[in-house]
Amino acid sequence: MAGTVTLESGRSLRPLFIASLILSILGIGVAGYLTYVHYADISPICAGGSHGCEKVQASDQSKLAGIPVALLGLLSYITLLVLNVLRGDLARTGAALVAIIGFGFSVYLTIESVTVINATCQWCLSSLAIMTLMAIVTVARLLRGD
Amino acid sequence: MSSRAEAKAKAREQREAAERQEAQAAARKRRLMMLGGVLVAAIAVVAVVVVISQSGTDKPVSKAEGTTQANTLFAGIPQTGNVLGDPKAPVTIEEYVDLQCPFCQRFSQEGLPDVVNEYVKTGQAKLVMQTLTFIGPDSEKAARVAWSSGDQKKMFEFVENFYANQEEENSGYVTEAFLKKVAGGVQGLDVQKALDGRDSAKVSSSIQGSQTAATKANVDSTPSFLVGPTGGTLSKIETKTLTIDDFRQPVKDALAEAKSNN
Repeated sequence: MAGTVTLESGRSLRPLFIASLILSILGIGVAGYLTYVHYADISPICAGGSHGCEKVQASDQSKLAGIPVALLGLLSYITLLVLNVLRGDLARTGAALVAIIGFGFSVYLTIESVTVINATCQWCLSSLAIMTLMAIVTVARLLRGD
Repeated sequence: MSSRAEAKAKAREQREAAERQEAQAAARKRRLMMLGGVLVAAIAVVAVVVVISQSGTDKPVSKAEGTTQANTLFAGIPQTGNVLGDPKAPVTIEEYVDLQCPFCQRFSQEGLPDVVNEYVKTGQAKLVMQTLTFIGPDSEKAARVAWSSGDQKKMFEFVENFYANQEEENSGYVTEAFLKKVAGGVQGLDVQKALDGRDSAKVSSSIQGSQTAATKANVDSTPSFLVGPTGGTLSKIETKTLTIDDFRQPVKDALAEAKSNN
C-alpha cells in the first residue's frame, strides 16, 4: 500500500534489492574514508602517486556552506541504506530522490574539479560511479515496485 | 447444472483478471507520477545546492587575481634571496614549501597575506622560504626558477604567482611555456634572466641547502613552519588551520624570547 513503510523482511532476495544494499555499503566505505581523512587532516591515498585528491580536498568546493562534502556524502549513503532496507512505495520514492540528488551533485562537483580545480580525485570519481548506479537501481525499484 | 457453475467460475476469473490488470495499470501510473515528482524535486534541490556551493564559499583565486596578489602583497617590503622582511626582525618564520603542493597553495591564499601584513610589514618577523622538491621533477623545475627570481628580489612574487596558476601535481604541466607565463606575470621580473639563471651552481646549492635544513629540522612534509627568535633556536609549529591563527602563540612566544635575550 502506498504511503506505508515497513521493514524489508520475509521476502525472497531480489537482484535490485541486493544491488541497492551493496552500493549503499560501498558508498558508506568511500565517503566514510574521505570524511575520516578530512577530520584527521591527512592526505587521502591515491593510486599511482597522484595528488589530485589532496588538491580537491583542499579546494573551496570540498565544503558546502561550511559542511564537508564528504560528510554530506556519508550521511546520504547512510540514509540510502536505511531507505533501501525499508519496503513500500514511500521508502522507494525517498531512496530515488536521495540518489538522484546525490547523482546531480556528484556530476556538478566532477565538472568543477576538472574545470576549476584542475584535478581529479579517484575517490570522488568512485563515489560518482556508485551514486550513478544507485540512481539507476533506485529508479528501477520504484518503477517496478520491487 | 455443472456447465452453469463452470461458466460462472470462468466469468469470475475473467473479472478478477481484469481487476488485477486495472490495479496494476493504476499502480504503474502512480509510480510514474511519483518518479516525475522525484525528478522535479531532485532538480530543484540540486539547483539550490549548486547556487549555495557557488556563492557560499570563497571563489578560488583566479589567475588574474593571483597575479595581482603576487604583485601587491610584497610591495614595499625588503627582499633578499629567500628572505622577506627586515633581516634584523626579532622573529624568524621559516617556511618549507613544495611549489606543486596544494596545501602550500592554500596557505598562500588563506594564511600568508595575514602573516605578511601583521608580522612582516610591521617588522616583527622576517619570512625565510625553503623549497623542497620531493613531489616530483616539476617541483625542482619550479624551485629553480623561484631561486633564480630571488636574485632579482622577486622570489616571493614568483612563488605566489606559481600557486595562482598551480595545476595537478606531476601532470607535467611545468613546461617552458608555463614557467614563462608564471614569470611573465611578475611585474619587474626579467623573465629571460630568471630562466637563464636557474641552472647556476648557486641555485643548485640553494636547493640543496633547503633540503639539508629540512633534514636537520626533521621537516618531512609541506607546508611546514619553524618559528623562533632570530639567531636563536627555531621550533616547528603545529598547523591546524593554515591561517594566521597557527602563528599567533608561537610568534608571541618568540617575540618574548627575543626581548628577554636582548
